[in-house]
Amino acid sequence: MDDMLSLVFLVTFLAGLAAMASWKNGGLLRANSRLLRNVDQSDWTLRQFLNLNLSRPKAKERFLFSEESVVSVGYRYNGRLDGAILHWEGVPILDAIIERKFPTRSIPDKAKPEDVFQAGLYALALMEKGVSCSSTLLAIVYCLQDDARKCLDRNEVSCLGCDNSRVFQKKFKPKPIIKQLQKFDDYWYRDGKPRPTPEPSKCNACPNGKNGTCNYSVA
Amino acid sequence: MTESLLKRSRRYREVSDLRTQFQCEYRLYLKQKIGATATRAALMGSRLHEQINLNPEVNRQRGKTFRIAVLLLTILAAVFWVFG
Repeated sequence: MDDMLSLVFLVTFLAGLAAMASWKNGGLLRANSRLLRNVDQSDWTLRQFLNLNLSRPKAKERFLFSEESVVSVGYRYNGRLDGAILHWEGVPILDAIIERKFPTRSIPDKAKPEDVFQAGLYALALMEKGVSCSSTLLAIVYCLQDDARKCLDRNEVSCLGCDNSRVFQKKFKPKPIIKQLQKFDDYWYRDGKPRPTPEPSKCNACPNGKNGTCNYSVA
Repeated sequence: MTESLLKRSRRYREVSDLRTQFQCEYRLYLKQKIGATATRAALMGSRLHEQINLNPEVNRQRGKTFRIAVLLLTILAAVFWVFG
């Protein structure tokens, strides 16, 4: 009997090891485990969620909103965010904005400023709607296109679990974004001349530099 | 105010345009003047955006409890096998 039990334990142990070995390396998932802990896909649209009066969800119950349109009336822009995590605590609170990027060659060592800026614009638009953003994180998810395609081939339709992908998290600070938008107004509303970037790295990534369309390219 | 400026000031700006402007204002100007240069990488990126979504990740997090249970069971089985 003891031998039988011992065998059962051994088989259970080996089966457990085999199961764990089959789980893919989720480096990115680990980085996101805190971000996505206890998050439910929302049945409401973002607009409905922000206008909830009677049936407010319980405090700390967090919801994921995907592919939602946002508009900033004050700064006159609109866009569509990849993901936003919110909860209610008297007022709607934005926990995180998730922005996904699929680079072709390499994953950057740190979040690209333009990607952080983009995610910040979504947060700013929500802040304007009365959402509290005092502890909002901007999560930029980078997953190489080749890896993403491999994930799709394995029917893993989630970029966060992709191999070799990375997440960078930044705290949302509205002031620099507002300042930047004010600078942009020159071009949009005061007929300011468009200023070419002096940074070669940005020109390297620009198709206008490569095909000769841009006279100012420093690539 | 010129006509083009008046037209521009009336409409809402796209976040993608503001992102381009953040990268390089002249790149945005060229995009508006001659149209967007859609590279193959950009097209593939858009397609991946559509095909890969964030929702399954929520389900995956729920599956985490199951994984922890398997881990605990494996450890217990190992302990009982060695010391039992």
